[in-house]
Amino acid sequence: MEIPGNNDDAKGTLFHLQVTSRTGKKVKKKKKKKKIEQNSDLPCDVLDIISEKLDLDDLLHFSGVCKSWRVSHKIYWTNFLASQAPLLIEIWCDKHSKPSYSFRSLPDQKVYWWKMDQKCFRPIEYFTYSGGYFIMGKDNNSLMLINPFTRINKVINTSSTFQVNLGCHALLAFGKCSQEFVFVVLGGWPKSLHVYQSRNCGWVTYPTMENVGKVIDFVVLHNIIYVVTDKANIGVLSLNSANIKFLKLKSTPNITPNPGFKPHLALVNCDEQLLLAHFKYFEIKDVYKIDFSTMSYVKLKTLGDNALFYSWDKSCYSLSNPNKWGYERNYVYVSSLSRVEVSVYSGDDKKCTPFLTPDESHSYTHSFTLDWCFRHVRYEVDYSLVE
Amino acid sequence: MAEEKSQASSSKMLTLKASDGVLFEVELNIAKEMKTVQAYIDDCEDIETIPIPNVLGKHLAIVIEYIKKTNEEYDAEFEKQWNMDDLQLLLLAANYLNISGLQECLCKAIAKRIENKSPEYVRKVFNIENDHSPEEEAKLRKEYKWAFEGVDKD
Repeated sequence: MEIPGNNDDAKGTLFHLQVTSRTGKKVKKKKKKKKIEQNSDLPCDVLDIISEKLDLDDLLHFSGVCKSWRVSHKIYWTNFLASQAPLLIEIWCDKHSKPSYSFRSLPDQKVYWWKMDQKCFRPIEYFTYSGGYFIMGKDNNSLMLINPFTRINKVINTSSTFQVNLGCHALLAFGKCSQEFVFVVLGGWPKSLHVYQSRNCGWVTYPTMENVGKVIDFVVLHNIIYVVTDKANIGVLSLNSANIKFLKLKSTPNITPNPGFKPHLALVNCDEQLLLAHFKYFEIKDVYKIDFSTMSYVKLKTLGDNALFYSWDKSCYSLSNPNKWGYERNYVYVSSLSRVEVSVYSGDDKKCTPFLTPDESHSYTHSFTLDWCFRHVRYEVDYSLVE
Repeated sequence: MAEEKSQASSSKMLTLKASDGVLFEVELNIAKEMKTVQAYIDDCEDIETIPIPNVLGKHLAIVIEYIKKTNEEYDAEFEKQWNMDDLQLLLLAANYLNISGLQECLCKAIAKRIENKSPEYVRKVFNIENDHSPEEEAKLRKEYKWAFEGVDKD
């Protein structure tokens, strides 16, 4: 896979714009050791290599060193957070210390480390990444939202509504032009749909209707939250009442679940179009487009100039113009435990090949791939759009 | 880095002259690991003594030893022997001589030593002046409150 030449992603050149902050005055000899030169300033390219090996927190400390480093850091961060290149979130578990998280860019294998300071937060479980935030279980009674890059975090108590347990799926969306947010969670036992709205400071549990099926995924499209059930019924989530208005669509795909396995269906916002992706284990089966003009499902023959990224039981994302970021068009990338399975979506020629195996040279004993991280994606909802 | 050399070339020796005049006789294949030296040799084949003006004898000795002995085990122990100043000077040497393996090893070592340290510590390490005003400094600490907690004591 070629890495394109004009990659906009800010890779590593943290000190590209460094201007030496030292004036012409003599260097104070703080130590007795002699230095061969007046200043033992390491050149920018070397500082870049060092900074590449630091985790996100240490890069933050770096930025506090002096004004010019702070400016460089700010530019680095702005570019980093605006980048459309997907990152793979991995967790590394070392027997001897706390787990660390990393963000890996697959085409160039560049890794950004984040050792979460567990003294402060003590999360127990990673659930998902949505709208710029890690969604983690803090204990059985609360969920924590934390932005790994800016450290803004919020803890939301769930004890009055549901117990936080394994396999929560969630979506975080912000109110359009406001600081309010909507937090949609599939959790508890039995798994149900719960929605927290900051404007109400409370949870609402949405009832399941057996005939349409249980909600298994959600996505934001045109400032509206859409949900899909295990029977491939799609509805609009109301934010003003505990209702889901299901769409009357033609040609609903007949999703026959394998006995014992629930189907893996995911809603995708692909270039402002609503898609439904049907996965069987780690392979893509079919992708449908919801055509709102004819109110019907249309099976896609090709993904066109898009690639899909999926993580089991989590969200599915689409990337347009994937070649620009080192990925292939019409391909599907599925992260599963320790690998990323790659398959091409077109006709019957859907070969699955593992793409990434854990980095064995690292000193950690085990890593697991968790999820995809699309840094630039931020969901916004318009409260006035849905009754 | 397959070291298949014919008898003739592996026995060829080269002299490297450090900035303080110390001379080192090294085998050609060792010298060639230093890409800067390699470039020198490419330019003038018959050269026997190559000046290394930016590197002190004591550091050049360490660099040469590294090249001879480098492997995973050696690398892991290597960086532990040196203090921060020496690490930086060795890194400057590795950078000048263009030895990517040593450069990588030293960068890793320095990164490891500044991990979880305060900006003040990093300033001392790299000899940088703090040009933030007290107000700016306070604002910085407030903005990144979580990141500054749990930092190792200097």
